[in-house]
Amino acid sequence: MASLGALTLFGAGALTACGQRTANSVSNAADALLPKTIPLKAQTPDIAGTADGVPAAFYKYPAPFRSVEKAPLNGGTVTAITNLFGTAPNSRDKNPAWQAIEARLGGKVEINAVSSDDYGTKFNTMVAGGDLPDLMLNDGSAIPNIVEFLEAKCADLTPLLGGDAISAYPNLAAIPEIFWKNTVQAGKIYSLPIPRNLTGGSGFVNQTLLQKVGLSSTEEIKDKDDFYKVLKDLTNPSKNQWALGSTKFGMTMMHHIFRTPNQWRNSNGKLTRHIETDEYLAAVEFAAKLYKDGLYVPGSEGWTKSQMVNAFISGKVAMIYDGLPAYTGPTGYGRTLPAANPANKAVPFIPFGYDGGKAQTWLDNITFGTVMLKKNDDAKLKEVLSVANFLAAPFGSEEFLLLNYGVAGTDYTMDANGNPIATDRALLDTAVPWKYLAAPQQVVFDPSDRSIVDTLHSAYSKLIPLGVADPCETLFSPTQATEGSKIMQPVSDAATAVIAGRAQIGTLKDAIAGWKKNGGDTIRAEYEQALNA
Amino acid sequence: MTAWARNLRAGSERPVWMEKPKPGMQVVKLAALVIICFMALYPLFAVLATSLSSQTEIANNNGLVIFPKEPTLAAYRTIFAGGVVTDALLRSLVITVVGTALSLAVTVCMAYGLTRRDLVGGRFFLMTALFTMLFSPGIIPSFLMVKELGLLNSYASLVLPTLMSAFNLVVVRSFFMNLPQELFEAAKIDGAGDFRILIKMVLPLSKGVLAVVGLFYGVGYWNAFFNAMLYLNDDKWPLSMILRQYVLLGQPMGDSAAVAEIAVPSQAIQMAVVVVSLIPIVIVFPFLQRYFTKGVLTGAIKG
Amino acid sequence: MSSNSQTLTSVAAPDAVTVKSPPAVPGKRNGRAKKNKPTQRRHSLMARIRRDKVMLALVLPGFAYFVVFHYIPLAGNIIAFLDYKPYLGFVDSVFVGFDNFGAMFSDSAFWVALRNTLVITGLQLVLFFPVPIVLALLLNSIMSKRIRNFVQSVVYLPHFIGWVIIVAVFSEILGATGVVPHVLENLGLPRFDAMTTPEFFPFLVTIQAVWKDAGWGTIIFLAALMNVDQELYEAAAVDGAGPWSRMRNITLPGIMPVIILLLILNLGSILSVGFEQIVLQRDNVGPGAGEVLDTYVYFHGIQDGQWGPAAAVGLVKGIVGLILVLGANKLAHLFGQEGVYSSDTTK
Repeated sequence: MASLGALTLFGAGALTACGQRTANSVSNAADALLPKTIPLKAQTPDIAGTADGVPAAFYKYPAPFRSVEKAPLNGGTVTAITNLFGTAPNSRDKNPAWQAIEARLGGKVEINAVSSDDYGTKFNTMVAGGDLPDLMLNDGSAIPNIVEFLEAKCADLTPLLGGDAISAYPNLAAIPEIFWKNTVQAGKIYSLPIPRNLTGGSGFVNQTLLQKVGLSSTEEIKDKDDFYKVLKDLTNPSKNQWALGSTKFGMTMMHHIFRTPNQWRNSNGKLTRHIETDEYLAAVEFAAKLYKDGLYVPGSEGWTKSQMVNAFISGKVAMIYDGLPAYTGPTGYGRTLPAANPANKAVPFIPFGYDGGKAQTWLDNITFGTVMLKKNDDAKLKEVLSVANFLAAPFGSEEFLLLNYGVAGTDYTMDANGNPIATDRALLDTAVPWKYLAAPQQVVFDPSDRSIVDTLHSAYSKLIPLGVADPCETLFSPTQATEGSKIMQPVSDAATAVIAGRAQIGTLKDAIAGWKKNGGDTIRAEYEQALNA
Repeated sequence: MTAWARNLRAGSERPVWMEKPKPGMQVVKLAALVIICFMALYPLFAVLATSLSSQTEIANNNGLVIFPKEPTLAAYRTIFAGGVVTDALLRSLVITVVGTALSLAVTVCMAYGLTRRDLVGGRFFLMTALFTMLFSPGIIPSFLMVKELGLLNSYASLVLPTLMSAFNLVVVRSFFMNLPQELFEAAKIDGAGDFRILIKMVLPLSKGVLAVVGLFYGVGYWNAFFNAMLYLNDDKWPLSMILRQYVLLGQPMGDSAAVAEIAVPSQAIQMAVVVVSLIPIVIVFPFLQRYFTKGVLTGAIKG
Repeated sequence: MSSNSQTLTSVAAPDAVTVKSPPAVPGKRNGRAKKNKPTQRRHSLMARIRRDKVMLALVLPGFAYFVVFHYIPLAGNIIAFLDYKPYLGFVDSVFVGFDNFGAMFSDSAFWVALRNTLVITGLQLVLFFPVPIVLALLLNSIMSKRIRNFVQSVVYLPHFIGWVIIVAVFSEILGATGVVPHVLENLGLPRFDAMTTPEFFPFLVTIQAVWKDAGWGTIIFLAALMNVDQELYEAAAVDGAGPWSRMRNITLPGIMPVIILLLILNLGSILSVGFEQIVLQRDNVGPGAGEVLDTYVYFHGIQDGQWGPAAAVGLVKGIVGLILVLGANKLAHLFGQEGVYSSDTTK
């Protein structure tokens, strides 16, 4: 019908000219020349960061210092496309913060802010249309064949940033090496990192409820049977209270307790997928038991994030899984739980080993994403990198204050302690997604309450040393790119069914075997090849 | 009978020939109506009430409040502060009005043109229209077409790509073809041209279908977000995109750490945006309603 | 992801059709160059164009719209036959013939999704489709203008509330910690988890659809009922026909063309159940019951950036819809109804 008509429109000859199968090559990040790390002489944090990545902590906003002297642009324009998390911002002509930032930059930045759900669609459509902006966010899922795309359309930044070259961009140089590793593909630096605090954590627990059953911290839990007892004590349906309730069962928490590998386990060059390990099955079986015994709120696996947040804030659920960034700030659990009920306090969940030993957390939040630069001449690339340098101004700098809090007086006022207090219009003015184009290393900061900062910092210092990275994070496997989600979907569906009690563990084992057969083994081979290259 | 019931009765317009309703039947009907109205109003009431509550109250009530204990307009203040929502609302209004007018015009013209059974190429034109209901072009080809026409990031890209719905076309055509043709034959004999018949005779008799199809187009434009998402930058977003952005933030699919990036807006704010987008529809609907309900056009078709 | 859902947002049913029989058809006609039956005067093609010039002028803007925004981009469906990558474009992406279709048909998850889609649409055809009609008849029979206006202005509102909220409302009522299980428990009846029982899922989806859209659907039928000639009722009443008899013999036949038209048009989109409503609840019941074609395309194609397979599914949907519409229209003719368009064999 329509398709036949379409073919004739193209003409028979055109089909034979259709492209040759391009080499979908495997690639490894290891041998790139990474930028040298040049720490900035920033303000002294209240608690210093550590070499293995535990972030610095601040109780109050330090006295701002200027980190960028010269305006990066000279009247030019930089275009970008990135995610929009949060409300649509005020447009430029109504946004004093945007105008102030562009004044400091010395030029204009045109940002195409796309809702994260739509990013894949819009990004690929834009690419198909042929017009690429200067800066492009790679959120990790929009471009399956990333190496091909990078090589075809993006600039190799190694000559401009590798080794000592990065000293031209001091704010970017202050970002430690571990974050730059994620920007490498096929042996070259192709993008800029958006750093995060290395681990997403193991979830949160309502400390007040925990204390009611005799514990002051989850670290006191000895093993999985002890854990089971604690959860049972925390569950009281007649009082509208359950121990657990999270989207998709909050399995990350369980996996940390059972020491499931972070995506892949690397034993001397041999790779095993996490779903193939005994630990994975043990975690799933444990969760299934918990669900069967009514320790999860029934139906909670299908909760939207709003529903989970509500349940936790109101005290309906004692433990949830949510990323650690959700702890601080005005909408963070640190503040919202006491706001709902002054007796309640939320703390990060510190996991323990299922067998009494140590837990194993995941370094699954090293970067939010990376930002690619379009191929361009050197002069333009340097200009774009200068803008990125501005945007990556560290916490405590004037520029950071401007980018994240807006214009003094209009968007915020400084209180007696030097902390910015947001005004009503701040939310919309600061919603422009600068921080998803370039960003500094994160810190722990919440001026409202010292204990929030202490709690979170202490959690990071406990969780990060327990963390393992994904050995394949900076490798590329073509099959994983084009089939990865598709062949993993039946496994996660089976796991959900097993935990919810709709299926037996055999179904999951079958699904895992299916994964191996339908591409998993190929992916493993490709990754091993890249690893050992 | 209470005064209230008598009052309701007073509005009755039972024709002379109709039997008196049996009381049993009345009760059943009334019960059914009460249930229906309850089902329709309950979610709306919940939305409105939630938009007036504080986050704490919402959390304590599992996300849907029915009776806010301390109603507050904080959510509305937040979304209207800075003018993003107001601007989007105005934009949506203009797009809806202009879009509906254009769509109606094109649809009416084409539908009328296709009413002639022996029109040259009539069957062909009708088939091409029907076909589009079943096969739609993909996202990328549509995008490329809009780009080629230079309509990217323009308001025209919200109207032109979805100018006419074949569904509505078929509906209007069907209605036109069932008007009394004798009237039009008579006018033809008197020398009236096709266009004149359309304007002076067909349209005045078609208020019902125009109201209904106009409503469908209007609602379509008001709720449409896909074209806006694909073709516009966020500074031109209509209200539907703003609303969608708020709602999407509350329901990310997945549990990765990246999901924690999202500072979930207070549900009060999400609900407030829903209410705001509902208000124009609630205002407009009663005006249109009289064009497609009984009591207005009875007998208008005849003579 | 499919723009199908977008083009049909102005969905609902068609409009009024009077009870009168359609005007006499002037014999067989054929669009193009063939001459008419001998009973008509012979017209040449040019003469007919001249005669119809106003009508053609009225048709052309709409036709131009379809060509520019539908037919030309429709050529892009060639993606279904390519291993399409956006940065390579149509010409440079590798041609794979029917591979995408093959992969789809040999994927058991596809057939599960197809089965679920058909089960849900089938159920909706039976349980959802009649509801707006019944509701419209009920409203039509209310004599009190005030009650009628009030109900009419309220009943369409849920249509505008997003699925997220409707599902949340259902969760409140039917969910495991909701009102209904509580009541059932207090009455000592066995527990029933409406929202997490796979076998119940099609019914759940249909009930939700009724809640949300039945009121909106009544609009068209109300408009259709309005155009039923009131004098027919009076005459029938005078002849002694009771209310039920009048409904069976006047009302229903009067709106039957509209019902048929709507039915046929809905068959065209039989394989589209809706994405948002399903994806919000898919995890609660698992893909065995919860996967439909639109979510299948999402989880098995779009998430991996596989544009080709997604386009392939779109083509399959279109072809199936086309067959059903043509078939149903023919069937309608057999029953003496005009359907969507009249064919050459019409009365």
